[in-house]
Amino acid sequence: MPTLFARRYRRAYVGPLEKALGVLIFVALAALVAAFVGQFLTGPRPSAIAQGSMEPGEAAGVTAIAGKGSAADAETAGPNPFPDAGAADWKAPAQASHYTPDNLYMKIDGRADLYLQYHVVAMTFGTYAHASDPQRTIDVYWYDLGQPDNAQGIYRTEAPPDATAVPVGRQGYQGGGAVFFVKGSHYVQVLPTGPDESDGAAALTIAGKIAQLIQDAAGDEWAPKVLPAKGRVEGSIEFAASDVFDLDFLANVYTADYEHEGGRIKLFIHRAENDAAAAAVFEKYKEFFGEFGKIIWTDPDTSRCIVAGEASDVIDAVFVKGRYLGGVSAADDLETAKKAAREFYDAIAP
Amino acid sequence: MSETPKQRSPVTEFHESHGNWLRITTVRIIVQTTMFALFLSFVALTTFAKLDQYPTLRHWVSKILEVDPLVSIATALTTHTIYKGLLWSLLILIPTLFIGRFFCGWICPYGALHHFVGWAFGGLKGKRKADANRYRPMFAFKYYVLLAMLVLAIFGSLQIGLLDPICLVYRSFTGSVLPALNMPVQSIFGDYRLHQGGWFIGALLFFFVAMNLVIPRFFCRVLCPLGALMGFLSRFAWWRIERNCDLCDYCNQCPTSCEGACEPDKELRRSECFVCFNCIEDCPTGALTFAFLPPKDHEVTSPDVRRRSVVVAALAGLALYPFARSSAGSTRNFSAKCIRPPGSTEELEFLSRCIKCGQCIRVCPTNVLQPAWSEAGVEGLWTPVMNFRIGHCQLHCTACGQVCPTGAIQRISVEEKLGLGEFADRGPIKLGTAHFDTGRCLPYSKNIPCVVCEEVCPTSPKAIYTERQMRTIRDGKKTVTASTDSTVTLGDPPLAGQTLAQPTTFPPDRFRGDETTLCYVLIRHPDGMTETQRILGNDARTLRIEGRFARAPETGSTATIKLEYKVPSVDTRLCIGCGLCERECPVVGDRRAVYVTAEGESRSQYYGERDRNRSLRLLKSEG
Amino acid sequence: MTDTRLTRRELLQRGAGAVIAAGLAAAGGYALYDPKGNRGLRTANDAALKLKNYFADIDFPASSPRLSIATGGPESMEKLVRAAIGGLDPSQGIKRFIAKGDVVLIKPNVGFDRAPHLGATTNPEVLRWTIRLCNEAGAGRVIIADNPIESPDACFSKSGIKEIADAEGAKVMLPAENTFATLAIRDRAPDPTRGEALGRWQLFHRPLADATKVIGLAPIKDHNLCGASMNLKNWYGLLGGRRNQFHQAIHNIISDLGLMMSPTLVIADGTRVMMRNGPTGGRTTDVKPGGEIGRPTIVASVDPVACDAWCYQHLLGRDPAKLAYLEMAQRKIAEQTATGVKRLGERDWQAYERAGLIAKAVL
Repeated sequence: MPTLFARRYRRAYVGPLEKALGVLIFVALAALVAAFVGQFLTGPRPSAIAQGSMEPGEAAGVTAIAGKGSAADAETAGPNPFPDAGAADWKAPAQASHYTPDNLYMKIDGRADLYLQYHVVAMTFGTYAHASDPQRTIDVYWYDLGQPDNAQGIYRTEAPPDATAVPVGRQGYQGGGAVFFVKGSHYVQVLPTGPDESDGAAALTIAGKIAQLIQDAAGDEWAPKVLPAKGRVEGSIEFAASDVFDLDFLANVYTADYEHEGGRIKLFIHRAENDAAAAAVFEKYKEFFGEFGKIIWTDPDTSRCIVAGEASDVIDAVFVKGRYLGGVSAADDLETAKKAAREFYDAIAP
Repeated sequence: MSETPKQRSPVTEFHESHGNWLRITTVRIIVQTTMFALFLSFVALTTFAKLDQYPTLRHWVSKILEVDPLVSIATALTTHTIYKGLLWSLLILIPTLFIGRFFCGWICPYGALHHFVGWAFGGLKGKRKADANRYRPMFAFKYYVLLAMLVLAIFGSLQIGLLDPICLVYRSFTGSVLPALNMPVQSIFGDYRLHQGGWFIGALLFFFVAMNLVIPRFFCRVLCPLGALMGFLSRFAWWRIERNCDLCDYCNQCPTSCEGACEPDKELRRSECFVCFNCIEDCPTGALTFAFLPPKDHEVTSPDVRRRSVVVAALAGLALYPFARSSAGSTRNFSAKCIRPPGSTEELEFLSRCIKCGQCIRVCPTNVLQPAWSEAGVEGLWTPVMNFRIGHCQLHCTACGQVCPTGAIQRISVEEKLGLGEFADRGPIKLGTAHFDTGRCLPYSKNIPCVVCEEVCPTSPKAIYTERQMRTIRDGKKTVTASTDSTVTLGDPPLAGQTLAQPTTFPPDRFRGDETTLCYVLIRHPDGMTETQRILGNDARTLRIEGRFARAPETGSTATIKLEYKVPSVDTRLCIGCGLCERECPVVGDRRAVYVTAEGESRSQYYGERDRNRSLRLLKSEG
Repeated sequence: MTDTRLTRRELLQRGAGAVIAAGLAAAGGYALYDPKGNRGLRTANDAALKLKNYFADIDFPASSPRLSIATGGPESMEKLVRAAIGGLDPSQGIKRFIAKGDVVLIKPNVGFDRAPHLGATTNPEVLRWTIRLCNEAGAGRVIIADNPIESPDACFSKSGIKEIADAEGAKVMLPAENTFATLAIRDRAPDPTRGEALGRWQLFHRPLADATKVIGLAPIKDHNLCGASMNLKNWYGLLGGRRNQFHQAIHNIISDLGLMMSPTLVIADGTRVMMRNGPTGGRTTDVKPGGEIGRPTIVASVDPVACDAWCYQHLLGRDPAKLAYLEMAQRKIAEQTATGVKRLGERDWQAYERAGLIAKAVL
């Protein structure tokens, strides 16, 4: 063997003890290096990145650094509902993280407030990993809102007006590769991190498979049938779950905009559990008028129960019919309010 | 020893040792190279992503620091404890007591670097090379350095990190070499990172390494306090290089490649020998051996230090402590910019533990940790502080504590950091508190709506909250010239001495407002009554309001146009000082509109006498 | 070449060094080994010092007066002090409280750099006779201590306290960094919604640790923020750290001070009552001997809350029912006595009067 590093040695003889020592040192060194390198052989820990990753692009995988007993560990217990990706390159999440309303913010920070307003029950999170490229992942946020209304409501809140509709779930759209859909009481977001063209298709497939697992509640869209169709502005139906019109007694209300005699008005409708509950909300509304403004008109026709009140320079007309409470919100003037409220009242099937 | 000098044999006989490649020096070279490669891997792998992907890696990346006996001895002096992994230093310390300074010749990666540079770029040959390896009295300097630093450590100030070779090489690589390599090679090592003052740390490394061309292993021989410690401990060693005077023919070949300048051709200086075995390779007669308990009269057992200089060194250490502490830079006169990583111990404890190795700075995923220059006082040079202009403290990250070898940053869990679960009583760890500079904040002083800070505040509920406030726009005071139920026509206030309003022009729908900003007009009637209405739109002169005027504005009343938008405030009970608001504030520059100071840091709360926390209100959450 | 073969003895001698050093290193390493990594660091769970109850050991019969008021002329401060303290126990007087060998801390108000006649600080003559009485009872040592905001040296000398203390052989202890310690007044963080201010706090602990008996000696003063500075407020001078922030909720802190300190007895110095412009005062017209009573008055009491209530009413002429910290202090002390702690804290001094537990002496 040529001399190492071109150095020539003056010492000719190397004793056996020295050689044995050399071998021993090499073995120890090799063991050290092997121990170090060995920890890389099993590959990176994907689930940690999947669980801990926040927005695409942010530093991934907090849970490992978090150590034992971290918050994420507490959330992993639970079944894994995620189906196979249905595409060869993508692996379904090995584990699903489950979040409750109390700790939802730990995953989505301040956005949790919005979901809490819509009475979110639970959220399940998982990441689909690409088989060969660890940089490409698809995150799935699966929200259970408890009631179809709430799921619809939050879907509408988040959907941009010009979204490209896709045939997933009851309603869905895709933007920038990400797929959002609502079905039954569930609202699901499928968010790829890779390039839109290829990963967007995979996201759509995954969304479809998840949608198949969700039951679509029968008749869960009552509002578009109850709200009058005539004159309704396209795409204006919205659902607010709580503090509607800043009134603390009004919750779970659908609103829609209408063209009415040259102007625009907003109609709203709330469906209560039963007649008594609807009547109770109606009383509260009247109390609200009494305290913060005044009732300026009561329908003389006693077969209809309509009042119009003015508070904070705004005129509302409110009626109760069976288990429905509805009316006109923030009308420009009393006549419009009266007319629209009467028409609306009549339009509702008893 | 015989008196007659032997006849000098021709010295230039070399042997091409084909069969004998397995010699101790070859082994040593391989070990040195491997150690340096390991060191390089450790430092390169100290990133958040890698530590997360490979959880066992955190036990390796600071290992060389942990086996450094000077780190464990010095921290034992300052803290009276051996922190966790520092017990591994016995692995180096105990063999040193038996073999001598093998660490310097075999293991130290910094030494390997010097050795390599000296060998590759040295250029000296023959006698001049041997002369370069003579012992010089200046080599005693490292013992004075060691003594001064140990005396300082006894008083609780840990400064060995400045010159300890492992700390220095870690810091130099994390602080300047790897970032410099990062820049063109982003994809291999990670993102382009910033390290304030890294140029100096790199220049210092360059200087020490370049000095090898003047004196081989300059740093190791002259400055290294760890080498000095090892040298001192070599006095007990059972084995050392021994020269058999009968075989020796005084050819002076042995110092040619001597690493330690320990003079194997005279009386071997135990404390300088690096156990590199190069002298044995160079000896043509085989007079040099690594002998077991050879006679003591052939050696210089102790380091060659002058008593007077020892006293001076001890006094220097003694004096530097009160010099540093009485500057109060770490207590009452503390700099509010000294914001330490989450999980840090209280400041004086921190300074008694931090060895300025730079591991935390390197692993930090957001690059917010930076080596301090003036922020932490003279004792805190190169210790980690947060610079929120560069990054922020990631909410769910506790990476810095995982790699800290001495416990200056404790190993905490995310739950402890955020005050969850069993730590809910204590609340989250606060690094400091955010404050608004309302003279720079856009909504407060420039009538520009902006609540980026509130958007990015990661705590839940958010520590930054907003309120709507109304502010008059520039030239907002107008005069009413006409009005109807729901419109009012305005003009500029009349000139002095006149009664007629001046004409004015508004851009169409300038005051319509949007989701963030609403526009209002405040009408003040001549009798003093006021009314405020929201503006829905306008044309050149007329504003259209929402609803109707309760009282029609009379001609000559003043109308003030105001904007209403959100202005932010900090709820100090919730703010954890993560600095994301400062990082994202669009008002860039030396001082952002919202900035974090070290006040209210929770790590100081049990150390009231250190006077670093002024107000309970900033520190604890109420109720 | 000499024979380099080693004898066994030489081997042992020369080889021992390394072995011993290795053994020491290993032993030292394991002795100092800190596997958790936080040894020596302070945490929330540290056991904190607690203040002693300086009244617990006093054998105070139920029939003895709780308040003892002595009113007299300015001629004899001695008689006034003796009468006041004597009123609490006619037979034993101070000896009921101070035993032979006791270390007595007398805590006067030395908070301001003012001459004594301005009434901002404790009357030095009252202090003189209190010290004298303690010494007569056989006290081993008398300590005078306070932590003023302004320079301690200036305050102690301008107020005349230092001079008197030196004359009577009492030791003045000035605040210094090593005389403070963190004490736990409550075991948990204070809840401001329940009127609490203190959890753990730095206190001027050295005199309190040394003392076996504590006597509070506070002047009665108007206070622009809290109504009046009397016996309970007097303990403010034991606080360290950034204590000025407690002024934001002044009644919380004063009532907490009443909870924190259970003294052996308190003496209210009504010889120069600051009727207005308190607590700093600065004009002689603000000061009236005996306040509304008109003649110098001293009140000694084993119940600081009752003493404050009585003084507020009789010396300052105001309604103690309107003084929030009295009610809060009473409530907090009641919570404490419910757990078996022996101390008094009753603001309804009329109850004592009805029970005949107030002694009055007019000289």
